[in-house]
Amino acid sequence: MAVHPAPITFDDPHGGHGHGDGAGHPPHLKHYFVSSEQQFDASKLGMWLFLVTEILLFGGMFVAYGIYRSMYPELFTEASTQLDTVMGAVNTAVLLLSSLTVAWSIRAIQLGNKKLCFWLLVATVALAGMFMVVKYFEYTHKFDLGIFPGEEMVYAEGTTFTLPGLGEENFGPAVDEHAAEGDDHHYVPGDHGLTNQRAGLFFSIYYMMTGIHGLHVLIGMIAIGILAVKTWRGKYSAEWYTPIENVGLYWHVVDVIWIFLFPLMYLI
Amino acid sequence: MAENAHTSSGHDDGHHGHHIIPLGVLLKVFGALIFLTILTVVLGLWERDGTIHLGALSVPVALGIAGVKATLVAMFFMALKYDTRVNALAFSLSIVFLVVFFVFTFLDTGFRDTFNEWPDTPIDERELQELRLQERNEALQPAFEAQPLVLPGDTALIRTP
Amino acid sequence: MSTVTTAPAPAKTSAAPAHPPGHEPVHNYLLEPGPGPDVKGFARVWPTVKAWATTVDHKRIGVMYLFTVSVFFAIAGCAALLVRAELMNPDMDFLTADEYNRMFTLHGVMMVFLFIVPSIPASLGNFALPIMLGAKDVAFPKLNLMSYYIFLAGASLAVYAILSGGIDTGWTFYTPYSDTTNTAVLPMTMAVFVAGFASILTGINFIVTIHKMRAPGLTWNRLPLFIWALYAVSIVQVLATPVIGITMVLLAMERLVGIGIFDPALGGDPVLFQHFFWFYSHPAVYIMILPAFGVISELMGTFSRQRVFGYRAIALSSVAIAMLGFLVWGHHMFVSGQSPLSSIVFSVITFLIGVPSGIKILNWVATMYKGSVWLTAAMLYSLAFIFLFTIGGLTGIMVGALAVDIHLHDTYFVVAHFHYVMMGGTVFAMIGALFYWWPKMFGRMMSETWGRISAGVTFFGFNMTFFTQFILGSQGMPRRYFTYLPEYHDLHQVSTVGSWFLGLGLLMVLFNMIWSLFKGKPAPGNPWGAATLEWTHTTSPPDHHNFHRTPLVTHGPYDYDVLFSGDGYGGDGAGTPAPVPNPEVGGPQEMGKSVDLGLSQPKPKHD
Repeated sequence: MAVHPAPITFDDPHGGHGHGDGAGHPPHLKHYFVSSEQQFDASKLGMWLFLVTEILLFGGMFVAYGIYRSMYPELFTEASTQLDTVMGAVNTAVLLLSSLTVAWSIRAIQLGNKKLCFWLLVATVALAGMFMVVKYFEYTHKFDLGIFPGEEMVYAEGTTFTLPGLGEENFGPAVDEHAAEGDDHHYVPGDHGLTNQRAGLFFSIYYMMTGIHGLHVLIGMIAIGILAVKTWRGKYSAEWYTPIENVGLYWHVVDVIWIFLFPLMYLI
Repeated sequence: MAENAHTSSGHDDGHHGHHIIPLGVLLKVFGALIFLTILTVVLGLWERDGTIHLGALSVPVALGIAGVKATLVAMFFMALKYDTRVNALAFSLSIVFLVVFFVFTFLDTGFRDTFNEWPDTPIDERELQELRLQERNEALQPAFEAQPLVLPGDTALIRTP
Repeated sequence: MSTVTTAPAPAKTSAAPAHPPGHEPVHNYLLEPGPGPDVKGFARVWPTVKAWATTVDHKRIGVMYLFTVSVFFAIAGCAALLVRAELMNPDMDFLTADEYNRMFTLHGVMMVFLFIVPSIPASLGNFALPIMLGAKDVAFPKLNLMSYYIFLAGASLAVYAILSGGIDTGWTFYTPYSDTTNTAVLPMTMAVFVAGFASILTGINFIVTIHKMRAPGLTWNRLPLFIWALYAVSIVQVLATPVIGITMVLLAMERLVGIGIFDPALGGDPVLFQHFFWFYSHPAVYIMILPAFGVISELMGTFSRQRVFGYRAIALSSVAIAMLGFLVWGHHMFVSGQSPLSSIVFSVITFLIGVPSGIKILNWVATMYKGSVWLTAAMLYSLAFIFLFTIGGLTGIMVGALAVDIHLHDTYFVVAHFHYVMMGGTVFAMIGALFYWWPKMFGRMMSETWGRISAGVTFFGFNMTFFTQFILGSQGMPRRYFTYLPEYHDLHQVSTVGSWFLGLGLLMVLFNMIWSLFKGKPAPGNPWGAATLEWTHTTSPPDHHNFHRTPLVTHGPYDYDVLFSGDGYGGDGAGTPAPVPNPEVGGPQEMGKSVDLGLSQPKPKHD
């Protein structure tokens, strides 16, 4: 804002507290920035760099996935059948929809429509909650079947193990003990039909990736919830909505990671 | 600040980072994303029950569809299309280094047996073994030469012009 | 970069009314307005403590980082002295084998994760980077403070891990041993994970600040080379650190629930851990050394009174090293059982790293050529750096060669190599940088005489300690053993005695610093006659907001002739006269009339 006609002076007698020419600076402008534009650009670049770290954080696990898939292709095709494709697809649609609502809420606040922005943010939190609920049912179903990561994985009685890390303790209870109960919703640990001894490895990767992704969804829910409250209180306007834009970017990356997780885990 | 020397708080549509994306575009992109999701699910299920057979292509196809979806999200929902190039550069740098990470790790895990023709025995023992083998071959040489290479029964298999 | 405040001169020369309250030239970021004389006891210090603990001023955060990493350097250095003392004789003199393992792990983990990685960027970088850019602060000051506290949290976890039994895996945490040992691996991995966050936040802050907050006229081609180096470092921090985060999480989960990703008993691959670990930790080596490159570039220019030779080549080679550094991690794994193909590829790319490194060395030497080399303590340290880093770098090429590495892997040769790079490189550069920026940070001059003596003692002690280890290594002395065969006895003793000299030299630096804070001569704004913004446009120590006026930059960071001859141009293209010296800050006008420091400053050379 300090661009004067010649001669060029960048005279700022108030040090950090004022901004010279008295054009009036908005309250959100931090004193160490020259203009809102600079502040907006800076925080957005900062957010993008943070997203880069997020991608590489997940990237480590994607690399582990890729390496083990190239080592044991049959394990991945076999184990992925244990995952519920319909639930995964529903969750994908839910996350995509929440991405849309976030993008739309930014448009709303840009146009100054705070009410619409608020409701769209609320919808996003609700959709994220729905995602987590579906995830909860998926997880508990797997736990019922004795599908745990790594050495905790439970197999049906009689499976032969050649890997030294697996042994007697990995056998589930005998199937017929529970068959008599006639309870439709009761699953027997180990009764998942998987015989591949490395299934634990697949589900380690599955639980790590979806677990950390779920953690990100939770963090996103909290962040978007805070944004919604602040929007309701009128903190944001068409003049200043940087936090919404940045949290939106974060939320889209959570979505993008799921876009890759879904086919890799559930489909192929 | 050199590049930010213009006056402040211009929220005009034309400026990067403040582009207001039309609702129509957002909805169209969402439609495309849902369509691609259904496509990849259907392809995956068909592949599983044997209706189609993509085989080795199933992973690239699924990843390709996911890539298109991610690009759509990045371009329109994340507004990279209207944004400064630095942000796009940062984003693509992360992808590039992810690929580097995978490719160089795969150079190890995928090629573990490449040059593993040598046995674990030390070189001097190996040379000794080869020497023995050579001596044995030489000893057996007369016996080999006594045996005709083509036995009478094999002549039927050799077509003469 | 000259003082180009072209406001009418009279307003400047009559200094009295020019300063609003709180912005007098003596205003000093280190000081807090004290309470009244009637306040006594704890209430007297509390406001200062509180102001420092909650500060968002990048200079104070830099000083706090400097203090913290120095403490860790001291602890880890003492551990190293103990390790060396144990190796004086092949018997277990005062450390058992177990204690020895824990001691060298303590040394390694602390030095790497708590000292060298944050050392120059977080302390001196935090202090100098915004000032060198002509900004009032970094882009995200609160995040900056947060990164400091996250770092403290990580450090506390590490200290907790050490107190609860220590760990004996070495700083590399290789599986499967780290999966099965019953030492405190879990808190230590969490410490690394948490400290990584601090590193990421600093990196993000620096990149954004460099991109978005440069002063008007400070184009990319006018950035000081220290900034270029920090920029390259920050890219590496942002791209590589998340991977060590996820690696540590996976290792922790491996121990907690046995996920088996690195466990061959469950179908996992322990070598994959090494890939994950070195994907971060090799680039981290460049996180450690690149800031040192930046420091040396600054010192070479300033103390040779000459424009840095090959500015652009040095700047871009920093970025090239940062990028190439991601493609060479496998050279730590030549004997791990990785595929021969990848060993060959990694070996070839490792040799390529020598190209940008060589470019830098040659350019620094060329900078001194026909310059007026001013042998201050800082310059002596940077000359030592060039000598030691060249040895460290060239031996790096040697161990990067496949066949040679089979022989030298895990011997003292490797230990000597990376100590020449890390200690002889980064630590020497950091000490040089401290001598250079100390007057700016604390407004006091350190003793030049004792500084020069310490440079000599440190250099001598360092070579005595580690050059012997090159010989030991090439003779086959393996690393990480508490004992050795009798034929290594003599060289081990020489090395241990050398470590005492090294410690003595470092102690001299420490006492020099403490002495200077109380007895040092007050520093003028620009004691070295440097041409970057932190010297030409701020007082020593700087004001809270760094600058009274946002500087306008009209030429490069090493254009000493333009700066000191005063025949610069206004920079607006409108025929503005030469820059008006700004009396309340440092700069050329102080060259003639500054307090006599007893330093002989050669006249700037123009030919």
